[in-house]
Amino acid sequence: MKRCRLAWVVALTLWSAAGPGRAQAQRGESGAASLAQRGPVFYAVSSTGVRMDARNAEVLRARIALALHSASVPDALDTIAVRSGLAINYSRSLMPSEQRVTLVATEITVAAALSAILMDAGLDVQMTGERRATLVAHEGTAVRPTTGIVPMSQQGVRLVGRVTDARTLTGVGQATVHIEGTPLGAIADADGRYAIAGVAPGNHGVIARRVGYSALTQTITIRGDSGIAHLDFALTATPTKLDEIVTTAIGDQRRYQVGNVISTINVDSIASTAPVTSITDILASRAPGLEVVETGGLTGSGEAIRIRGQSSMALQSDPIVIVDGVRQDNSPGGSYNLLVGVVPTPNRLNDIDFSQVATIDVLKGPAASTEYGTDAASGVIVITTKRGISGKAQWHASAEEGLNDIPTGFPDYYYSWGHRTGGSNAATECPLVRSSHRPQSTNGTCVVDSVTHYNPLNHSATSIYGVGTRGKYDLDVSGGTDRIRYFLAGGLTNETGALRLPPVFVPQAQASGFPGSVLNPNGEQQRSGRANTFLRLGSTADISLNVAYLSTFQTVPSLNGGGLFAGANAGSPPDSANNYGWGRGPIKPLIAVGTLTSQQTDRFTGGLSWNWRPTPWLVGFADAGIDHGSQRSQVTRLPQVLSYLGAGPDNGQYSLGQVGTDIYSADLRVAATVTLTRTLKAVTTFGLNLRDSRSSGLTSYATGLSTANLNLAGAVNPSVNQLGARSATLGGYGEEQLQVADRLFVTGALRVDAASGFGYSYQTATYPKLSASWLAVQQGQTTVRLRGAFGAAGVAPYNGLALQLYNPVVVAATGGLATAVQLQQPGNPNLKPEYTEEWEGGVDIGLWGNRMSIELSAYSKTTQDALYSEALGWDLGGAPYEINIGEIRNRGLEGQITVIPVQSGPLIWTATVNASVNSNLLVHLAPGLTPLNLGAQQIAPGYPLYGFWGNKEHYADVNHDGIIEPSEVTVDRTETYLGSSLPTQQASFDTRIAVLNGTLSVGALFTYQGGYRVFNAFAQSGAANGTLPEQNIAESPLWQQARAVAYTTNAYGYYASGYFEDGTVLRFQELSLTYALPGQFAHVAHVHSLSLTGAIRNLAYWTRYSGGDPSASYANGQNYQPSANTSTVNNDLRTSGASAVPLARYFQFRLNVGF
Amino acid sequence: MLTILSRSTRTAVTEAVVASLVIVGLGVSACRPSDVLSVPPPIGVIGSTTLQNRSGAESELTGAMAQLFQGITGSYGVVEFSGLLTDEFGWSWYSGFAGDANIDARITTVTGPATGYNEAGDAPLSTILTARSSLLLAVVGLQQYEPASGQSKVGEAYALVGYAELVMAEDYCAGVPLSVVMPGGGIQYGVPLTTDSLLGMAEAHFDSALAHAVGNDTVVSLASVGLGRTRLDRGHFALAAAAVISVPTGFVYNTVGSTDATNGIQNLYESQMPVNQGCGAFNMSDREGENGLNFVSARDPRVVIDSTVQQTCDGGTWYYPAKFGNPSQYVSLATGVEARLIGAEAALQSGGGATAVSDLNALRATAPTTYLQLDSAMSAMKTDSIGVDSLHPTQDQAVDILFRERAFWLYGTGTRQGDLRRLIRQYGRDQSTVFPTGPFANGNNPNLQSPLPLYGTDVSFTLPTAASGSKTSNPNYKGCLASPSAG
Repeated sequence: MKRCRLAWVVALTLWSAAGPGRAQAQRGESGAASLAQRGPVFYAVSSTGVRMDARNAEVLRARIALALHSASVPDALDTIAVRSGLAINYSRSLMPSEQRVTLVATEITVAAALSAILMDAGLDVQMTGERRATLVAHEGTAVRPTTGIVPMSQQGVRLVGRVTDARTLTGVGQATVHIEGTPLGAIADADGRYAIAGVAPGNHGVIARRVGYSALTQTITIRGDSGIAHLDFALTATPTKLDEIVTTAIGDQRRYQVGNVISTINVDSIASTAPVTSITDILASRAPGLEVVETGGLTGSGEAIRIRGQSSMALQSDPIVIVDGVRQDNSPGGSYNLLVGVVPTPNRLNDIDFSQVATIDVLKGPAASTEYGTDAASGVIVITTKRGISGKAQWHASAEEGLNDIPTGFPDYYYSWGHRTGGSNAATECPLVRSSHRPQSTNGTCVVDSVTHYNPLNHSATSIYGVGTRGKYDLDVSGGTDRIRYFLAGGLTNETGALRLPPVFVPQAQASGFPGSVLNPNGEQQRSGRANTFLRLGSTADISLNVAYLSTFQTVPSLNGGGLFAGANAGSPPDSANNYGWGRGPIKPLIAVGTLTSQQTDRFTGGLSWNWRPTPWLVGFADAGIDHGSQRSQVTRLPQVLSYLGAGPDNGQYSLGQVGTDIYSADLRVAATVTLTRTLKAVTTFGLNLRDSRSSGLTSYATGLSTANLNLAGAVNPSVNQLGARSATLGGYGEEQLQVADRLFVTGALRVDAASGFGYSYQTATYPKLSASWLAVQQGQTTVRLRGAFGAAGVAPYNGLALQLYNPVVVAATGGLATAVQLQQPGNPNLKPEYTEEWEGGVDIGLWGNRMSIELSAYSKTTQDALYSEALGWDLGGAPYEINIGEIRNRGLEGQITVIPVQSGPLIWTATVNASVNSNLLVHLAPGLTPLNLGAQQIAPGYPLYGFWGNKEHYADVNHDGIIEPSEVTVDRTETYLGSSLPTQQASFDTRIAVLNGTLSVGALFTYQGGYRVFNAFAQSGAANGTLPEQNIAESPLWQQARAVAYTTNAYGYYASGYFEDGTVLRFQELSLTYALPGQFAHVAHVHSLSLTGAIRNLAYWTRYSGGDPSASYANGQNYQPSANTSTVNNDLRTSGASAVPLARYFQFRLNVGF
Repeated sequence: MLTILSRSTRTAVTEAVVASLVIVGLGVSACRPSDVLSVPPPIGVIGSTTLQNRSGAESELTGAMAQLFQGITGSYGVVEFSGLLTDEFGWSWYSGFAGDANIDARITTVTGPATGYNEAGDAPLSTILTARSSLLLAVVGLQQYEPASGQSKVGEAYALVGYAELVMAEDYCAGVPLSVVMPGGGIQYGVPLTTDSLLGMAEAHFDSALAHAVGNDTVVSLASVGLGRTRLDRGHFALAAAAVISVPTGFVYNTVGSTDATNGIQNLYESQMPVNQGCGAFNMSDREGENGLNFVSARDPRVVIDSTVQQTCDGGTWYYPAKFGNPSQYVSLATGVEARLIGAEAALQSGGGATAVSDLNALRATAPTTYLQLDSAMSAMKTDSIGVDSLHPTQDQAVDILFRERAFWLYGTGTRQGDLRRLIRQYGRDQSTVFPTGPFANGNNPNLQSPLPLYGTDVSFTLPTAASGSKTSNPNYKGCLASPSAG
């Protein structure tokens, strides 16, 4: 391994030696010009002689129009003086009189104009009055002799300008400007300004691009005698996205060059206005085919992400995540999730502060992710964070304050009260059907007098849901020059969940000595810091360094608090046992809040990227990065709980896990572009990729805590276990793309991987790819692109699955205890990665002057050798055994239509409709293998993975009394497939209306999920207690009565089909209102921009599901513990709704300021 | 293609290719993939390659032995369950353990979708099969790494494999598949075996044990008793006697046990202790189901009853078998006493009922006092104690005497079920005359899933079924090849 590291170092060193040789020469040239490239300093001198920054002088911020063509500097200064009213004094001797200036701008500030003209002059601007300035030699700099100017033919010309929105005339930040045929380019600052140095004289095509705008190419003639040239761009906003830049494994490409559909989400614009709280909130409903599987409304709850359906039974099915070229840990809950079965697994993707993200590209499957190879079968999420922008420091600050709550409206539990006829006439509970906890109504002997209904969740005094708070504060700054740019950002988020200890229990908690933290036991604090720098090494190379620190601290009570979130389903009338409707027996809320879980995750990520462009046709790229995470998970059951739980041998429990994870990744890539003929171009790319993931840590457990001692020291029977795992993947790939007339792009690629997790009889995995993209129509207002792609990718088994492993044990033996080993898993030498192939085809259409964009895709994705956790059964001791025996298929359609129905004057209305359908199917397992019965769900060939199965009930109200009696219900003995547990249909409608030239806008997002069922465990558990309305009210729908009867009269040994309800839901997910201060007022306020947003998330939902929010699910399956014996993922995402918290509602107010 | 390009372009292409290959090549040339991809197993487990040495192989053997002892003589092992099925133990704890009640009532197959209870016999079967597979894995390492002086460990492992097969043949219906884990990885599914085939496998493994046990008297005796017991089960009485003739009467091979379940083996003692359950869950039976022996009322010194008076969970008197009286008193897997009993039965089979009884009395007179806490040698059998003329028995009476002696000598060691099945198979008795039968004492307990008013007819445990929640991916598996009611 040491030798290997050395080899990489040598390779990179040699590579850098090859590049810097050329780069050195460039630096030599530019070094001479470095002083001249300084811009002027604008300052004033106070009466005390102190120099003060004068950039904000009103006269300097005034905007003027200029049209200078090869003008001398004095002439240019005179023109500016006339246009702005600024008297400019200068000495002609200081002027670079031979230098010629070209500057064409319709709206340029005086300061910018002076900066452009004096950029190479070594002069500063001293403000000597409100409208008076004097040009003076820069302090400490020798006055430039006019003859000392480096000839333009050697130094090149500086091209400056501004990229604006053609309609609003506002600057388009982050736009890229590139001189075609050269490696020269720049990123515009927040005001749209850019500068490119070293442009050779001659005719150049210059192209400006920005996500959401049509690219614009203009031609400019650079004269050798001009030191500076100016070129502005006015970009037209367009929903046509074909010209956008997308980021893939082989670097940035234009969308129309890629034969796949890649969804790009412009996070910057969403985060500033939409009511989102996390990356997964941003992803939800914004990329067709990507499903964010919600868990519930607890603060910090994680979601699973599935793209184009579920493709694996035993391995991670979340897409892999790449941030600025560095592979990130996004295994469910982190590499070690010590909160298994305790709380909904956090999604580590949400450690990333979305305020620092620029764009997210979603590569949806193997057809697009082949070059990422093993692990990329479930897609790739490529995150690009915000970059530094050349120019003076641009600050941006945002502050968000808000509230959150859990929408109420939980189903009540019912109690029938009556009296018996004959014998005792005592009052009694009198439900319609038998239950385990309550007496059955026997016809003629129990007469119902009244029915009461209650659920403590629906009453403020007894509900565990109150009102939480959320604050988020961000500050970032960017700036630099065209050679050195920087971006620094910091963020702080503090959210308290709506979960609380119900007020009625607070006195008891205080009397029992509970700490005050139990009153609001759910919360999350996040801190983030991110920095990136860009350094241009001459004209042929650049290097960038990205570092980030992410910290997340989460607290949540244990879900094992006795069905806390199911509410008062234990059949307890409101006043019984002084529990306020929280059921008979222990007081659940107190037990829950007294068993507190916390998790502290600290991550440091860093990446170093090196671009090398020795010639216009050869590009090299190297990237190395690390994602280091340390996670501290803690579960503490306070000793005070015992008075409510009942004392036992485990008085107070304490478990602690401290685990560190490091993911190292390195990429090396070279691409050569060769023009073969006038219309045929070939791009050849070779790459190497290494990923090495290492985890290690300790877990500990103890009982016997005391109120004075809540840690391992002094606890009873503390035990410590050591954990650790490592895996590595090494792959190489080659790709060849032929470009015909810049309209037809045919790409072929092959990736070969080896991995530590493969079985030892399986050495390498090979993944091919072939795609084509054809701009069939590109005329007038219409563009049509046809595309098709085939690709393969895989997922490697976790390290250790192939090995024959033993557990160390201490056993009784002759003479006493002895150390020994016992077989833990047999090992499978023939293990291999899952192999997923995908076909994808589609069409992209731009219509109506690109005001309408249509994107349609169809895909078929088949996973061969799907890993099946066989659990060998009784004849081999139930040992875990992973074998590649499954075939899983996902087929579907995706579409996205973006349209600008109105774009006139001050009004702009944009709308986007996303829709997708997916059909998941387990094609087969090994012949003879028994379907895996997971209770309410099964893994059965011929049906979707984890589909819901139950015993169907048949009923008829034979005596027409409106009551379904046990004798009127029959139940199938065998289980029947009832429906998918994951939505098979998704749609969203995202719209925004902007008025008053964009200063006031309203946005709304509606989402739809359908084609699936939800297991209403609320109702089923309620049925066991006889507290459902259908068990107490004769007028209840017969089907509801039938399911209760079927379940309660068959000893609860199966799942009644009636409890698997249609989960279709239409949700008003986001509503926002934003007011942006107009530019002129912003200037008055001494800021560049200022906006205020008010927004609501999860405003309302409509569903036929009777159990509450159908999107809430306690996904205890999304767990991953690559420890010794549980190295697979349970991908069963929607086991039941019994412990789920409805999705939270957020009210947010956000202030964004740029200055 | 290159010929159509200009010279400068060709040069550029050449440079590009060379540069690419140099860069990529340098990255991988000195960096063999195996260097990067060779990672250790996860912490917390031990890879099989780590065990490829002497101590590793012995650790495998120790671990596998613990598993086997758990399955046979541990808590909820076949000794317990076979005792329940026969007349040795009774079930008296009814708090939800309906599976145990079913076994006590000789109903080993639970039917109906609503029961939700596994066949209780599934668990020890799985443990024993797993242990057998692990023992065979250990044999591979022991053969390779043990020096010549330690090869008897190979013999001991083979002998225990034989015992695993033997108890499965005696206690379970035909059809047990002997699936195994392969050395280094992979599995091999077994095919269902008839009872005699399974005994044949056991016999072969006892032979292998003897071949490797030379010089170790304990292992030789362990294998010899197992071989004799196996041959007895197969009806090869003379060969059985020959196998055990050299075993000293004082020989004892005990399993090991512990009060701590985390150490792998929790013996019968723990299951019997009321302190763990609040009351006695299992109880010594006395004349259970009409045919049962009087294990309690006989006051036989080989089945000592503790004087401590406590209650069973159904309120009866709890009889405490003193031979399981403390954790250090392990269950005997093989004894010289059993060797003598085998010899006596061979004599009986050869027509010498009187000789057999004489042998049994000789055993009473010479049995070691260290076994079963006997204070002294036992007196010879008397007519009034067994209801027959023990000096001049008929052949059937001699059979009764022999099996009664076996029952008392070997009480609670897991031989009773095999003996009763042999009475059916080899001596022509009907199951209703040897197994408990008639009304089931606990059959109307309201906590039962369904009433069990009468004993069933099962003489062996059924094999696991998917309906009971016990699954296997073994494609060869067929369940019981013969009814659990068949002898």
